[in-house]
Amino acid sequence: MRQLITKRFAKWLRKRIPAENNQTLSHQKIFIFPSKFGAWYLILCGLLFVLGTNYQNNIMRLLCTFLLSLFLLHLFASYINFSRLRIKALPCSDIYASQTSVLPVELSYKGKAVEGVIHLSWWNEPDTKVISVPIESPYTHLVMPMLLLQRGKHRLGRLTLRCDYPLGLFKCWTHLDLDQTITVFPTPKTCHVNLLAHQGESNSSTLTFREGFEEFHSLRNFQNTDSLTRVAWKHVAKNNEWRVKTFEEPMPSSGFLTLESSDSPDLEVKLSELTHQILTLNKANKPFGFKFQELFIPPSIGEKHKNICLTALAHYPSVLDSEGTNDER
Amino acid sequence: MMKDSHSISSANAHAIFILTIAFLALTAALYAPLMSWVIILSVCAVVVRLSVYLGWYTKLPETRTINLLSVLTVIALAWLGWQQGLLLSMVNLLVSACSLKLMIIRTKKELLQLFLSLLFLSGAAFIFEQGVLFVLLYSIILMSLMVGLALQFGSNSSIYYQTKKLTILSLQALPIAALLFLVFPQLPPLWIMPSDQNSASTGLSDTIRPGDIANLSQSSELAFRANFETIVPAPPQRYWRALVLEHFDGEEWTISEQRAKQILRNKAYKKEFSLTPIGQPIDYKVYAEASRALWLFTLDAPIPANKTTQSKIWQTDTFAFRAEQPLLSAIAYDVQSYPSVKLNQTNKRFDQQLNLQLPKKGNPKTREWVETLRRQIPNNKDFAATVLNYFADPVFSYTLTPPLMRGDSIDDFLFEQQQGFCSHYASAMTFILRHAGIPARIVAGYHGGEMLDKQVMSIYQYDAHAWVEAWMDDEGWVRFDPTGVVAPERLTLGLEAALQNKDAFLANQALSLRKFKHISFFSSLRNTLNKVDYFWSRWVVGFDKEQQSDLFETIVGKITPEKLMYLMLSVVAIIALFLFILFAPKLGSNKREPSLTLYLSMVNKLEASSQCVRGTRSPTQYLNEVEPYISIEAFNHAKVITRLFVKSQYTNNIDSNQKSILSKMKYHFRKLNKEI
Repeated sequence: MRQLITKRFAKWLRKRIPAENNQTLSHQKIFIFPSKFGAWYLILCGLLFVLGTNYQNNIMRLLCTFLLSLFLLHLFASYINFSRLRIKALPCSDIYASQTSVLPVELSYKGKAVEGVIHLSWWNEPDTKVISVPIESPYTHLVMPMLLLQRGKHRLGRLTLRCDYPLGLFKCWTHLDLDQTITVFPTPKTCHVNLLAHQGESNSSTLTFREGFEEFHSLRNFQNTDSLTRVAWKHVAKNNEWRVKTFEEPMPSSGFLTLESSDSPDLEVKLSELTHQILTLNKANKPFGFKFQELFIPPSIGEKHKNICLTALAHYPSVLDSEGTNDER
Repeated sequence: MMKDSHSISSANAHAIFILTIAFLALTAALYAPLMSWVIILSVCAVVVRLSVYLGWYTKLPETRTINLLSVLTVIALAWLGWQQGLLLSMVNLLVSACSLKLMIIRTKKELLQLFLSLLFLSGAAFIFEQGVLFVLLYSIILMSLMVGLALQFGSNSSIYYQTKKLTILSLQALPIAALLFLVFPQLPPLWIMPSDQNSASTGLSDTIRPGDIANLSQSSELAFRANFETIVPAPPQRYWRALVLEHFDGEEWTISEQRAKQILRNKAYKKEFSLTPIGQPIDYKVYAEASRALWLFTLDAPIPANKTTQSKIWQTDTFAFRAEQPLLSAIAYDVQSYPSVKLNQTNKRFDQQLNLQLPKKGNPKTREWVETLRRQIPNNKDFAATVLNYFADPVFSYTLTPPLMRGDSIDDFLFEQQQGFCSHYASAMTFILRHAGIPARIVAGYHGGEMLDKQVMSIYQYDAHAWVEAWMDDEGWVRFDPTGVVAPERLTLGLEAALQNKDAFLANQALSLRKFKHISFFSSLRNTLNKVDYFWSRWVVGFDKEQQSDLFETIVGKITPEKLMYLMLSVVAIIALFLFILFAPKLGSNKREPSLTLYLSMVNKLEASSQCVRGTRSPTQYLNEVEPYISIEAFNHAKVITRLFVKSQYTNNIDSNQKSILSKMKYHFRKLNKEI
């Protein structure tokens, strides 16, 4: 029953608040209702009215009507403040299944300032974390933590934004679909890097790398040229400090990764181990080729190369039509 | 709101600080109904909070400590509140609960709870005070409570900023509140509320002990105001009856127990006394201040002027009005007084039997004197006139500071001291008349009144007076005022004039503005304050159902349910309109930025003149597309506008930047218009 209602509501929401990456809050999108505190406030007004009537005390009645009109005005003040908000999803970094990752979000306003604290959470997700950010400047950046369990293509759910400004009497909220389709890569699983020579060249001369050459070294500040994979997201989420993980220099080598690079019998484990190998090689800045289903990529290096490979893994068993995936937005 | 585990759910330190200050002010304003230990408790809480805020002390008391304290508080309140009555113990309980809560506030939820309690407390405080100045003080407290709340929810932590914002909102709320107040139904009490019966009533007292009072306490506090519709009685006729004292025990005059029983009995049987009016009435409305007493003030002989008043008061067999419950708040009632009515419409036998009572012993000299005199003058009327005349002897003088007269106080007064104020004279004369076999009683009330304007009279506590009523056969109760014989100025010019020693007037009220009447600045200041106060009590404190329906009648004419409905609808419409005017300009603010509007209207212009449609092209693409179709000059302007538009979209969101871009865009748009 509950599910049915949620489904209906979701359908209704789709119609009422269509998906869009960059959204301004219009009256269609905003819901407003007295908060719990607002309800108590109204009960208090009722009490004052009864007290004023019983003691035949006009000042108390006047206070009661004053509080009521203040309540009424706050309905508008709350709504107008919230309606000035703009929200935009920023490109997110690589996301791996079963690992906490984040969706960077930008809150902004033009013209008159939005005030108060905006509370964000994922809609219809039972144990979503509420992120609260005070709006203090025209642009506010934050990251929404999310946990996606399965690899593959994912459409992100709706984001609930809530604001209690100015007196907490009303809560304004909205459920926005920021139109984010993201590819979730398989969870990396530690294993040896197993680069295979291309079958055309020589008969399977296997080049093996020992695990451990890409040991974590230290954290340093983010520079524009850095790969987003190396950003320590935990730091960003916690302290809003952009830090990059650095690793010790690996040895150069070249070869191909194929499904045979992992010797696990389980397919998902295979994919996970391949993911790990791709990441390891990428971090080490080592060129590698990729042969997977119908995909054949000659050895190369770089973020783009890595992403094509990982996307292919993520989408397995469906085949990518071309290298045009949408994760480097 | 409650389950956020984020730091946002903790209470804001500035918000707590503001609430603490507001709480302190509230406690100070409420000092009268609070017990002293409750005040000490709340001051302690404030000190704890402030020291935490200022960083002198970092640890809040533990919840366990506070729980223990609250148990002790409840026990103490139950113990002491026993004698205090429900109302006062409730107020004390609320204040102590707030103080205890204040000490341990950590979370936002607790802050909100405290806010609601304080809001309720400041509302309940109006039970005790309704004057303009108090309301002003409470409004400030209310504002600071709101500012505290705004600090909790806002992202701007400047107190000044939040105060400004809230002041604007409150000023906008005021007209709506006033409108709602005027049309809100004025219901009768739904049930009788507890009142603080134990606290003394202010103003008149229901006992008179002439011998015991060495120094009549005077107060320049307002007792009530009267607004006369047409005729204002001349100063000597301004006898305001409040209560009748019919029992004398040798020392003090009190309300007779039999009389009190009679009132209760009549109330039980709903047998209200009703006067048969004769002659021309004086119409007026009385705005009585909260006195915590039952008696009301009327000129002789009163009947309620309308149904609303009828429902608020009870007419007693002593030609006085009584309120249905002690006046905890100010009350307004309409009266018609018929001065020509003879006060003989009550139960003659009951009145006579009650008013011949005297203690068996005491005051032998007076008794002897009366017996001698009575033998000479058997006629009741002549006897009363003679007694009254006796006080004209210049040996009697009027003073507010008579010596103590203990024991046979009337003997002492009549034959030894021969000085005193109204109570002494009224008491002595009543005693004399009763001993002579003439039913007599003391009437306590006010005499006099100061005109605020042509129709409005203010009566102060220092106008309190007592006089004598004696039963004169067919005429019924006739008023005799021995004070008027001793000091005629008391009746014509007021108390101040009657005192030979002017310093004695309001001697214990050094700062009363009334005292500085002769200085014109203070006099006009006092007058202005009085007028504001009168306006307040007339239109706000005293606004009642009668006034409400009068108001409706002046708007719509005769009231019918249909018209009333239209009236309510139009009130709603007015409020909606007001809100629309306030908020409509702000609602559109997110729709479209001016630069976009300007750009789009330029595109429209270009599309119309060049037939080149923009479609989904970006601004720069479209500019290139349209170039061949328009003149060079027009293209140049379009180019500048496009560039500025793109710049405005990507530049910093600083108002001054946007403004200069916009003004440039406008300039080029005008030029472009000319070119096309």
